[in-house]
Amino acid sequence: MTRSPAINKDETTRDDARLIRAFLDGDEIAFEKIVRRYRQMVYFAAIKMVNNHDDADDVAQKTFISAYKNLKGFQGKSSLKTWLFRITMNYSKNLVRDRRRHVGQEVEENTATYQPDIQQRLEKAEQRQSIALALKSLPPRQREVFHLRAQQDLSYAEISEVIGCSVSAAKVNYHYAVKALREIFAPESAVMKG
Amino acid sequence: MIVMECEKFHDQIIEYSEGELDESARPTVEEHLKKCPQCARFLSDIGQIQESFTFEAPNPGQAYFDSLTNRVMTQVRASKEDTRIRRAIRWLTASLWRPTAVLAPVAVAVAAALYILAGNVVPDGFIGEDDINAIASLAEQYSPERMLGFAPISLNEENTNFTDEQFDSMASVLYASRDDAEGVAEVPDAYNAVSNIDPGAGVYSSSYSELSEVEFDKLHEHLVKTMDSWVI
Repeated sequence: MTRSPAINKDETTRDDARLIRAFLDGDEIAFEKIVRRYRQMVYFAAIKMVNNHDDADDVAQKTFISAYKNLKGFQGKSSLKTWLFRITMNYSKNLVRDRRRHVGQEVEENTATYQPDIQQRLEKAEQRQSIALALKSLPPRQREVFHLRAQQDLSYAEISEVIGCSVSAAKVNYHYAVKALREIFAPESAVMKG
Repeated sequence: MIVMECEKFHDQIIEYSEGELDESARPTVEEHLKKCPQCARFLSDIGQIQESFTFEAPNPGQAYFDSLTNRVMTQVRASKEDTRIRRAIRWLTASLWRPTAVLAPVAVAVAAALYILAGNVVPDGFIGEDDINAIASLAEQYSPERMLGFAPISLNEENTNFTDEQFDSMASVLYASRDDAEGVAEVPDAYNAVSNIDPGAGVYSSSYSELSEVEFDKLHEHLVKTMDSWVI
């Protein structure tokens, strides 16, 4: 798993700042540019949480409407990307929680289950169940960091912004999670650890 | 013991598997991986774990993302109108507390504003019978009849957050309603909405009145409720 380096991060941050300023000055097109820039990130972050297109679409819309209403209060302490990501996560979590509460539908919040092909779904059902159980066995912080890292593909710096911890704490939690999962999935190897 | 020594490498191996290990540390880790089967196995295991948790959602495609953008922009524009309506309502309802600032057709103006800003704008300023009926009906809905006998205030651009175009449209509706109420009366609903209040004195009677706090709150609640039912 190799991530692309954040080569244009500064440029993106500057562009974002410019777009936010323009939007706050009344330029609606600037907001549309923000939507275009982050719509894929928001949608894919949502679908990895809610596991189906319709709900992800709903979350994406709510995220941007909320951003539109609250951009005035955006203080730039985190990047626009992680700010939007946090909003997406909050709406997704609410939706998953409501769904569990009201429909009683079994949803594995942190597990990637969206597969359009039924046969693939069946084939992966067992694996998904194992994954879900393994994730549930992790402490909440490790589970969250692992989800953000392995499934949402965020950098440690972004994770630290999203959940409000240090970069090193994000890294440590991820490492613990990976090691714990390895002990679950490859116990015969982990035994070697002594 | 070699296993304990290996554990020291595990964090670096995780970083290595992600391609994030510092350049200077790489040779040592690679060297260790070559001679240590347990760590090579560790690398392979965590690679598989990371792989199995990776989730590539199907891409819904450009058309979907364009549609998402359009829907978001449509909604934010509607919410902008919503804000404008809320401001107008706040101003108009707040003015009810000023005895001299209460206008006879305030309710009609509010109704007109809501009607226009809800998307029924009349671009050429022409006010049809249907428009009048709709506005009168709205005015009747949320205006206690006694409100409509109040004294006039100047309703101008400075008092509102409307654009010029919106203000003009609203003013057109207001004047058309007034004309109807003053005698043309071809639209019974519009006429009734304003003239029943003070049949003797007409719409611009200067009979003052104040609403109680309870009445004010009730009216405000009703206005917001009416508005909310129109906003997406």
